[in-house]
Amino acid sequence: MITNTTLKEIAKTIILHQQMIIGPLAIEQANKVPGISVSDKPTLTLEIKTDDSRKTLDLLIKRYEELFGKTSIEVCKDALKEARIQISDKDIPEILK
Amino acid sequence: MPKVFPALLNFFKRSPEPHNSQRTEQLTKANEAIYKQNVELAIRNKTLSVLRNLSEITMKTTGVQEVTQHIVDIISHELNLAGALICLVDPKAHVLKIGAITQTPKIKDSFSQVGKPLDEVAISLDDTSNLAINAMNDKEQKITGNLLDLLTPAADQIAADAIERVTGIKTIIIYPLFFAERALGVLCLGLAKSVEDLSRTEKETLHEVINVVSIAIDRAELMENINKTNKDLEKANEKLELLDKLKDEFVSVASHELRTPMTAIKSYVWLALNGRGGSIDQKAREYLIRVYNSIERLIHLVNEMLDISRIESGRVTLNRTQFDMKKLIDDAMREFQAKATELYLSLSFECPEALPSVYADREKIYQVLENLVGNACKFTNSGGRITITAKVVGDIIEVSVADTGKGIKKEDMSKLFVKFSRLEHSLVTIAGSGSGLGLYIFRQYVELHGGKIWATSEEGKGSVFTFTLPVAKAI
Repeated sequence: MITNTTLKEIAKTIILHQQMIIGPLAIEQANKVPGISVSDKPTLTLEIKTDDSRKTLDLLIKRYEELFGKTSIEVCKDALKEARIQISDKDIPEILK
Repeated sequence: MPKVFPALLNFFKRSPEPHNSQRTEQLTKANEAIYKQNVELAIRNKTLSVLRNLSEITMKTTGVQEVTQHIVDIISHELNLAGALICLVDPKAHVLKIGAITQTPKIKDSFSQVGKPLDEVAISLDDTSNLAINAMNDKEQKITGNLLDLLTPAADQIAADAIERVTGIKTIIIYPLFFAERALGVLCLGLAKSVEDLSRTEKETLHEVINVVSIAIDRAELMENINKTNKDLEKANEKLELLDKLKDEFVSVASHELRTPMTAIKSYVWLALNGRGGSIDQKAREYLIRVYNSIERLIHLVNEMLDISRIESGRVTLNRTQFDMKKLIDDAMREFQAKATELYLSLSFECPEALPSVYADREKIYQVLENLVGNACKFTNSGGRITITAKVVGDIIEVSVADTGKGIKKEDMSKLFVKFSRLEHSLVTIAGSGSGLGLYIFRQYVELHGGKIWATSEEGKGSVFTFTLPVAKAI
């Protein structure tokens, strides 16, 4: 069972990778997802304040997809690959499978 | 990031109306296209960043060990690897040895399972049970999920499993490293995931990094070899300098030690020949004359050896004065004329009215001239001609001594002015037992004055020996 902490780590990794491509827009769009609060000063810090972290993560990924298409999903997948987060296949968000 | 993104988003906020849906769609597509380009740029940027880090380190570092350690450290950090290892070919021992390994506590502790210090691990280049050897033989990347494939026969399966457990290594990618067809070794990357889980950035960066690693290692090996050769050359040079110094000292001491008794012998023989020890019969006189001549030749040889020793150790002092070259030759002619007449040779001096002065060691230049005229007399038959000429050519004075003697063979010309070289037997016979040092010494004297000396000759017709000196105003 995936923990909230792990989901938060995944979200942070995704935002960092999106930031490398679209800069501060990544932070701006993440902050528009209900329950997510992100700041990158001085370093990236993320808070998820919802009852359903998994759903919030999905909303974040979809937000990027709406704006930038399927390529942004690939970026999220790569972000997960590069991060050394221990996660089983069944816990990977559906949208990233 | 392109400024179009914020502008596009503002557009979305302002224009939700349906009649703008076509424009919205177009803009969204444009957005996606730009995003894709940015993704490519970000990947390229990451790759270039890693390559730049590698290049910077390898340019600043010398020594193969240091360079390889920096490479594994940078690659491990940038690509978030569980570990990295570089093995290098030792062509003399015909083995593959560990050059560098990631220095994390996990790696250090786990590789102690191998049972021996890592710098003692050596895999024979003929051991095809080892996947790294296979990678080099096949010149292609190999991938394995079993660390034993890389460590065999240096470790067993138990050790390999223990290392995998501690480090979290699940996959090992082995890249053979080649430079100009020469096998350098292998780069081994330990991943805590499968190859399929490598991101695009990671795959592309790895692909680019391999060539840079090969170049860096080759360069480091080259620099090490150059440094070693330089050190060897320095040592050899020091030894040669010492030997040269010892040789000079020996020649100097030996010559002095020889000259003293020879001078004494010559003096007593002279006294005997001049009746100071009483009268001597004709036969005894004959023998004593031979002794006297031989001693003179020996003393001459010893003096030449001493001159060489002084020249080669830089101890020749030139007592330069300004003098009239024409007058020097005129003075020399008076001395040479008697000898030439004795040998039935014609000796003449041709010169323009006036020659500029030279600033030189008069005694040494006189010796040069004396030697050249002396040689001309030796190698010219009775009835022959010796001509001394002097002329000004630009800002130098050129003095030539030409004879109508036997001449010198073409193949012997290169032996002139060279230490201890002797010409063909017949010429040596004529010259007597010459030391082969005279012309060499006088070449040094001329060159110390900034001049040159050379010879031209035609066998059977004669030779011309020429030397130059700068005129006084040109110095």
